[in-house]
Amino acid sequence: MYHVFLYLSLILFALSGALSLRLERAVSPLRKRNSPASILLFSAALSLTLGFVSQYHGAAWEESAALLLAGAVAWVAVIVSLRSGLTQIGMLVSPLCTLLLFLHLFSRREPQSMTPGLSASILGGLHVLTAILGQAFALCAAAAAAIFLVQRRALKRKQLPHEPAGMISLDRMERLLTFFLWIGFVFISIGMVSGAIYTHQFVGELPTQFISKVVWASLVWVWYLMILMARRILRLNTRRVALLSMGGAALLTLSFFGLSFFRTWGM
Amino acid sequence: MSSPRKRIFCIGANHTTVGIERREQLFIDAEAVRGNVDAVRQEFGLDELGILATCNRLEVFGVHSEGSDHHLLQCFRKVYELNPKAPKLADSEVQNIVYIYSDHAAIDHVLRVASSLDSMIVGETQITGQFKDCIALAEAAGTIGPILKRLSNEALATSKKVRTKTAISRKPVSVGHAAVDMAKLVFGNISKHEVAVIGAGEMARIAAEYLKGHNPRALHIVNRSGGRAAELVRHIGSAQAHTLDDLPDLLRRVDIVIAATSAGEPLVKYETVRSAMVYHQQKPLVLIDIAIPRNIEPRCNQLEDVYVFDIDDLKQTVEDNVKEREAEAQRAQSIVDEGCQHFEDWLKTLDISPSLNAFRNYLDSLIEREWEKTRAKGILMDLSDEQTEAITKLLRSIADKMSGDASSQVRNPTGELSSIHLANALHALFGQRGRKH
Repeated sequence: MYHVFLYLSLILFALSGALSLRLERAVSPLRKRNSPASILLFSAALSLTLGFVSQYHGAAWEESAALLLAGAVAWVAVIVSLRSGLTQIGMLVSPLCTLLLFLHLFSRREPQSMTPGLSASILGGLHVLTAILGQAFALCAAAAAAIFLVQRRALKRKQLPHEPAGMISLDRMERLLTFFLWIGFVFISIGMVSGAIYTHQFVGELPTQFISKVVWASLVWVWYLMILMARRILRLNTRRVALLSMGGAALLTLSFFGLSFFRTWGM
Repeated sequence: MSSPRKRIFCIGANHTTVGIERREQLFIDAEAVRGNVDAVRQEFGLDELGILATCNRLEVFGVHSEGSDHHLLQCFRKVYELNPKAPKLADSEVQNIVYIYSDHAAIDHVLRVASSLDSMIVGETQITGQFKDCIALAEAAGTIGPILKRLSNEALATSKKVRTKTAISRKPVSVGHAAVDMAKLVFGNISKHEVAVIGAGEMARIAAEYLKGHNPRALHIVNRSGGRAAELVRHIGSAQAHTLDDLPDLLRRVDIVIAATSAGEPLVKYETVRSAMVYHQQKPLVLIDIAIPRNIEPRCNQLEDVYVFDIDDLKQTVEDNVKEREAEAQRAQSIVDEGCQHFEDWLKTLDISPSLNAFRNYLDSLIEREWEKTRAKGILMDLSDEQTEAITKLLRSIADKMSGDASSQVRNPTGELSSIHLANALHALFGQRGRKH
């Protein structure tokens, strides 16, 4: 049961973070205590707590600094949002808790026994598929970012097209970029979650060649999370988002092709 | 003594000879023209004078009996210096930016201008109204005579024929339309955005009407005079009227601004836009300036997420439309050529009419003289009133016939002699001095 609650809390934290970023406003005149993101955050905190409780009564207590920290932070955020209505705190707390859970799951030394009904191949396949899709959309976001930057520069410098009707408008490019960023981030997140669960369940201690992969994947995930948070909270303009997207694509390319180099360099 | 030959001239600068910065300096408003056109005419000894000042051209056209190109250059300089902000230009600089036409070339140019064939946007409709206003202003100032009056009538008639007999204006491409197309480069779907149009004149009206067809989320008309804004709103429908005081607040809300006023200084300033962008939450703001002098500070383009386009930028977007109209423009030119011929034919009659009138007067006075002489001798005294009237009618009929035949032959000579030569001969033969050319 512990693992079920653990995985459930991971999924709920990820969903809560995504919904917070998508739906909450950085500055909102209304305080919705029962917003979907807040409910998910509460559910995630509860699930994590139940996991602790079940572990306490079950096998040896698995002390994990990351899990404890995640639980504490989540409950503080829930209390703050309930008392003050500051539901936007979920935008920061949920991704942080997700990251902490990733750290815990990837740092497991021994694989756990398989939960009945859970198939390694399905989970592994899901991880690979969503990781690839996430990277594909992230690269599409970089392409959209590049086109946006070129068109923006042309308009700023008044290098106007001969056939204006044939040019995609700037705001449409911006919407495409945002769409690709979001979809890419969702798939990357699902890939991370499924990968973390798979590792925790069936792998245990990661082989050396996969450590850098996990580190880079986490970096990429954090990078895109930062882009979306900066867009949402700091109201970062589209030009900077585009530049960051292209940076994210560079990170992706490194994580995809450059692992061999960095593995030996890091060792 | 022969009177000097009158010549029609046109001297000016337009969008093809000067860039937007210099055109801003050349611009003079209607009040300046109204107050000074007659003084300029007298100073340079011109018989007739008209001044056409628009956002894309400053033209001085008229009639003079003497004078050189240098004389006309000085006249042009005098006119553009009516703008207090106009810089002092050397003669060579003025020469570099102007074109000078005389006689047939001047007539052709005036007709082309009035028919919008010389406009930045070929086929645009504003120029005809601007030309009419210029003539009305000159008439009010008393600087229009029979030649310019006739020329302006011919120009307007030609303009009307060009629009009705060619498709040059059927594809409505104007500066206002081009401005809206420019906004679409940033905002593909205008229906999701609020738009403000600053100004209530012809260009603003065209832009607002075209915008209305795109169903923006809200359309705001801003003008110095709230009454004119309200009038335009009534004409368009489903828009809101504002005064310039509302502009800073509007800049926070709207996504597209089209400025088309004749204000002498920028209405949309850098600092105002910078303050407004805080409320835009990183969404772009498009400022399109189709006025000269410019209504929007060009510096606003330096702001992040602000895109400023002026009238020179619109030129690029309408190049394709201009190409499409080239064929129609060629057809329109043939109509202009007909108008030129028609006017020049009339112009010729100015030279021969005095001679024909003199011949007619001679015939009338001859009939009168001989009739009195005959009656004085006591001949035909016993005629009844009816018979007297019949003889008088007969004599007048003969005079009409002779005068008509002479006029027909002089106006349409079939031999080697020209109209002028025949007119001079008539003048010499029948007692009055002919006009030699």
